[in-house]
Amino acid sequence: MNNQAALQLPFSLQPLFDFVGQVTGGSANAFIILVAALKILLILGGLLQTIPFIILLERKIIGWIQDRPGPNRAGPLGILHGLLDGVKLFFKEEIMPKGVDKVLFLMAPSLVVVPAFLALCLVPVGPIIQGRNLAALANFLRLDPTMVGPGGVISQIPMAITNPNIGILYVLAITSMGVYGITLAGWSSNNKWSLLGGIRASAQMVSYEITLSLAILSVILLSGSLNLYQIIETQRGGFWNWHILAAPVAFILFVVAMFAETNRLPFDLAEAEAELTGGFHTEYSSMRFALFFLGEYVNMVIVAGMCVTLFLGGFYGPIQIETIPLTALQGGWDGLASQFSQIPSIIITLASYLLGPLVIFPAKVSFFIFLFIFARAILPRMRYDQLMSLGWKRLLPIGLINLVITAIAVAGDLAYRASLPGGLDANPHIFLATKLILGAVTLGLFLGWDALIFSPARKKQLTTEYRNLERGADHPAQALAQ
Amino acid sequence: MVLFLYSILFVITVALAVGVLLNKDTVRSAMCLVGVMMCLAANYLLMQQEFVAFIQIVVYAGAIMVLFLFVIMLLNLREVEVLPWYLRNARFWGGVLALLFFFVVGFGINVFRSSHGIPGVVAKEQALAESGTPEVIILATQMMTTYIVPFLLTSVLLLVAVIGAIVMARRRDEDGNEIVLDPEEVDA
Amino acid sequence: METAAYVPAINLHGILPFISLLAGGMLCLAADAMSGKEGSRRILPVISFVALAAALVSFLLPGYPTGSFLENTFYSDSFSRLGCIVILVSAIATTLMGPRQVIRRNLPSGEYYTLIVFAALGMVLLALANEMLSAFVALEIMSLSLYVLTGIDRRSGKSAEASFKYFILGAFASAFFVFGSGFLFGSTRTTFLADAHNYFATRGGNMPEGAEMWAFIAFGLVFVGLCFKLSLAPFHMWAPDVYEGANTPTTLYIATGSKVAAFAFLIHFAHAFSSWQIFTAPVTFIVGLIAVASMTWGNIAAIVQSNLKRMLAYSSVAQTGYMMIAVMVLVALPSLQAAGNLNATTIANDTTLIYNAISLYLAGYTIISILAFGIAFHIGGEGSMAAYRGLFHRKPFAAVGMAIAMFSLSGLGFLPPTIGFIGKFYLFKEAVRFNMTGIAVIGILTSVIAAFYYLSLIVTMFMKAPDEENGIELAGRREERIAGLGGGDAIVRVMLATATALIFVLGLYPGLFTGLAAKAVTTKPMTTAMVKK
Repeated sequence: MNNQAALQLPFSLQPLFDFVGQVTGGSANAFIILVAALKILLILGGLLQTIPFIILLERKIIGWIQDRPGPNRAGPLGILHGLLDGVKLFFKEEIMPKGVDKVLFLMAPSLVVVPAFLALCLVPVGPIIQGRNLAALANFLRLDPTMVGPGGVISQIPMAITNPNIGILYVLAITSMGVYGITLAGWSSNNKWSLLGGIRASAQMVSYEITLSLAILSVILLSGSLNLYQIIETQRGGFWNWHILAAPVAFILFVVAMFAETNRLPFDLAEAEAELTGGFHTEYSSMRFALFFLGEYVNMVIVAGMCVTLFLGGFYGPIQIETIPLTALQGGWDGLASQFSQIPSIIITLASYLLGPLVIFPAKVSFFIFLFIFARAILPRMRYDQLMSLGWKRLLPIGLINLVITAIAVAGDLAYRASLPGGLDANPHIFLATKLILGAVTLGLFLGWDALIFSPARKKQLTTEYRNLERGADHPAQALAQ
Repeated sequence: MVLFLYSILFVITVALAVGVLLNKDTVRSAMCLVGVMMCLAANYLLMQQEFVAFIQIVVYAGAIMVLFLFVIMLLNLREVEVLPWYLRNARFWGGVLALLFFFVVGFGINVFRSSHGIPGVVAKEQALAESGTPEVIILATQMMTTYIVPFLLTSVLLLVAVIGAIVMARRRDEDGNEIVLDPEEVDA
Repeated sequence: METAAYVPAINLHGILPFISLLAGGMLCLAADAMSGKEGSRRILPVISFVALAAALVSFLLPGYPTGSFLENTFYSDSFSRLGCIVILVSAIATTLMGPRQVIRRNLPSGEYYTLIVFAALGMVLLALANEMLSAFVALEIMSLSLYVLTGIDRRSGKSAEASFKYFILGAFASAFFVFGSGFLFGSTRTTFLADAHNYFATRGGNMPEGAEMWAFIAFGLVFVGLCFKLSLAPFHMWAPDVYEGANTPTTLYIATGSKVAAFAFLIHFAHAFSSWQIFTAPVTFIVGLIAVASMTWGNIAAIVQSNLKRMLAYSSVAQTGYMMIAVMVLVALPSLQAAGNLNATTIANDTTLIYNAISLYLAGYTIISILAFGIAFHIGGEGSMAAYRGLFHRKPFAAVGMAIAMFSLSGLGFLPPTIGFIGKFYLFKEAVRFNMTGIAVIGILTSVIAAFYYLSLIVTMFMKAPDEENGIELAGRREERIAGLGGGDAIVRVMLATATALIFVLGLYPGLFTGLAAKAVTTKPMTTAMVKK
C-alpha cells in the first residue's frame, strides 16, 4: 500500500469529471460515461488503426504465396499502402447509378458497419479490473475512491466496452443483423449481379448461422453461462481447460461457419468477382464501398475474437502467467511489490493486466486473421449448391449430434459430481476429465464418421449418387445460380 | 425517463407498423417489419427481459425476416399490383383500425397497472427473481418445470410443420413424376 | 449452480393415449422411409389404425384418471373423455377410408397417415387441455396437420385453394387465440385454467381497475379463435371452400374431429370463467347470438348449394350452432342459480343432464357425419350433385344410407327415432327447461328450413332418373378398379353399415348411451371450484 501512494499522476483528473458531471447531471453519471468513452476510444480506436495493416498484411501474404513481392512502393516495405488506399477511397467520386432504390442504397453500407461495431462492444479483450487492483488504479489516477473503487459506483471495469449477462446471445443477435446490409445493397443496386449476390448472401448467412449457434450452444453447455467473462473464467488456469479440447467438433464447426458468416473465401459467393463482378457491392464506390470493406474486416476481427473467447481461453495465456505471482506469493500484489520494491506496484498491476489485451489476445486473434488470409490465398471458391449442401446436409447434422452428446456428458457429469461429497465445486478434476473424454469421443466420432456409418460399397454408391446429382441440371440451387 | 423511452418506442413502432402496411415496395415493407421486431425487442429490454429481447432479434429479425427477404428477392417482386378501389380503401381503414387497436391496448395497459394478487406461476417466478437468480435461469426453470408439457409438445408441432412443408414444396411424387395440376379439373 | 432434480407427477395411464399416438405417428414416418411405395400403402393404414385404436382403448379402460393430471396441464372429465373417444372414432373412420383415397389421387401415403395420427394427437390434447399454452400448441398441431391434409392432393387446384384459405384464416384465428391467452395471463396472471377459475372465484368481485375489461377481451379473443375452428356463423367463411376442396376423408375429419376437440376445449375454457359473477349474463347473450346466427345462416345458405360437400359444410355450421345452445345453457346456469331459480343440490344434477344431452348430440353428429361423408366418399365425384341424380337406381344401398343420414341430420327421423332426432330433442328440452324457449323455437324453426335441402337431396336420389352420360364411373373409381382394390372397399362398407346401425340403435335406446355416460361422468359443474389434486 505504501508504494501505491508513492506514484500518482502529476495532475488531477477531477476537473474533467466535474465538468462532465455538471453536463450530465451527477458525478456518478460522469464516471460511468467517461469510463465507457475511454473504453470505446481505446478498443474501437485501436481496432480501426490495425485494419489498414491487416489489409496490407493480406496483400503481402497473398503476394508471398503467389511468389510475387506484393505492395512495396509507398513507404518502407509498402507500409503506407493501407493508409493511402483509405485516402484514395475517400477522395473518389460517389456514384449513384440510375434506377437504384435510393433510401435502401444509402442505408445498406451503414447496415453493415453499425452491427459490426455494435458487436465489437462485447469482445472481451482483457480481464475485469476490480478489488484491490481497481483501488490501486484509482489511486494512481487520483480518482475519488467512492466513485471508482471497491464498493464505489464503479466497482469493476471489464476490459470490454460492455458486459451484459446474455453476452454471447447479444453477439449472435447483432451479427445476424449484418446480413441486411449486404442483402439490401444487392437489392437496391438495380443490377442483376448485385441481386444474385444479395440472394446468395441471405441464404448463406441464415444457413450457417444455425451451425454457428449449434457450436456456441455446446460451449454454453460446458460453461453454464451466456456471459462472455464467465465463459472465459471457466477456461482459466491453463490450456487444458480451454474449450477447444472439450468441444473440438464445435470448434471446427465454428471456424467453418465463421468463414461463411464473414463472406470470406471459400464462401465469398456474395462477392464472387469472377462471376458476379463484385456481387452486392458492384455499384458502390468511394466511401460507401469502403464501409463494406471496413465492415468485412471488423467482422473478421469480431468472429476471431469470439472464437478465441469461446474456445481458446480468451485473454488468458496457455499457462496462467498473470496468476503466478498471485498464487506463488501469499501477499498478492503487495507481496510482489515488496520483493521488487524499486518498481511501483501500480506498474506491475498494469503490466499484468495489460498482458492479456496487448499481447495474448491480439496474438490469438492474429492466428485467425492469418487463417482467413491463408484460406483466401489457397482455397478455391465453393459453388452455391455445394455451399448449401455442406451447410444443411453435413454441418447441421454433425452439430446436432455433437450438441446432444455434449448435453448428455454435461448432465451426467453434473449429476455425478452433485452426488459426491462436497457437491459440485469440490471436484473440478472430475469435470476436467469429463471434458477431455468428451472432446476425445466427439473428435473420434467426427473423424470416424464415414467409416462408422457407411460400408465401403454404400459409400461408393453415395458418392456416385452425389456426383449424378451435381451433374443434374435441375438441381434447385443450380437453377438459382443460372 | 422509462416512460419517456416507452413513448418514443411506441411512436416508432406504430410508425414502422404503418410503414409495413403502406409501403408499396415489398422489400421496404419487410424492412419496416424488421424495424417493428427490433422495437419489440427494445420494449422487452425496457422490461429488463434481456434474454427474450435478444431471442426476439435472433429469431425474428435475424432469421425469419432474412428468409422473407430471400423469397422476395428470389421472386423479384418489384412491380406493384394495382389494387381495386375497395382494397385500396381497405388498406387505409385497416391502418386506422390497427392504430385504434393500438391506442386501446396502450390505454388499457396504462389503466391496468394497479397491483393485484398473483396466483400460481407468477408467484413462483417472483420468488425466484427476489432471490437474485439471473433472468435466463428463471426462464429456463419455468420452461423445464411449469411449462414442460407445452415445451415438449412444441417438438411435435415442429415435426408436423416440417412434414407439411415437405409435402407442400415437393416437386416430384413417389414415382418420380413431376406434380402438375390435373388438366381435367382445371377445365371444370 | 445447484441443480435440483425435478420429477413431474406423471400419471402413466393418463398419457398413454398421447404416447401411443405419438409413437404411431413416428412409426408411420419410419415405416414409410423403410418401405417402398406399395409396401407403405399396405403397412401404414395398419400402423395408424393400431395406434388410434390403442389410444381409443386406453380412454375406454376404466382406470383412466379423472381430474387434473400432468401438473394441472390436462383435465379429464367424462365429457372431455367422451370428446376424445369421438375424435378417435372419427380419426379411425378417416384412416379406414385412407387406402382408397390414397389410390384414387395417388397421394403420398407416408405423410397422409402420419398427419392423420398427429392431428388426432393434437385434437386429443386440445380436448383435454386445461392450460392455455398447451392448448395453443395442441391447437396448432391439429391445425397444421389439417391444413396439410387439406392440400395434400397437389394435383388438384381446388385442394390447393382450400388449403391456402384454411391456412391463412386459421393462422388468423390462432393469432386471436394467442392474444386472448396473453390477455388472460395479463388479467389473472396465470395460464392455468384451474388457477384462473380460482382467481375469478376469490377475486372476481373486486378485480383491479381495468382487469375486468381485459378478462372479457381475453374471453372474447379466445372465443373467436375457437369459433373459427368450430366454423360458427360469422367465422364460417372458410368452411364451404375447405370442405369442397379437401379430399373427402379429410373433410370428415375436419367436420368432426377438429370441431369436437375445439368444443371440448371451449367447455373447459368457459368453465374457468364461470366462477365470475358478472361474466355469465353478457356471455350467455353473445353465445346465444352466435348460436342463432349459425343456425339460421347455415341452414339458409345450405339451400342454394349445388355441391353436396358445400351443402354439408353449411349444414355443419348449423349443427355447431345447435351445439352452442348447450354451451349457452351451461354458461347461464350460475346466474339462474344466483337468481334463485335453482338450488345448489340440483345444479350438479342439471349439469349432468346438460352434459348428457350435448354428449349425445356430439356423438350423434359424428356418427351421422361418418355415414354421410363415407357415402359421399364411396360414391366418388367429390360431392358434385350429378353423382346423386337417380342414385337409388344405381346403388340402392348407398342411396338409402344417404337418405338415413339426411333424415337424421335434419332431425326429422323420429319414426323410428334416429340419434339425430334424439340429440336435438334433448338439446331443445334442456333449453326449454331453463326458460330459454326462444332459442329452442328458433332451433326448431331452422330445423324445418333445413329439412328442405336435406329432403331435396333425397328427392334427387330417389325420384330423378340417373344421368346417363354424366359418368356413372366418377372420378377415382376408375383408378381404384385398375389398382384392383379388394379389402379397402369392404372395410368402408362395413364401417358405413356400422354407422347406420348405430344411428338407429342409439336413437331407439338413448338410455344405453346416456346411462353409460352418466355412470362415468364426473363433469365440472360450472359454478363449483374444480377438484385439485
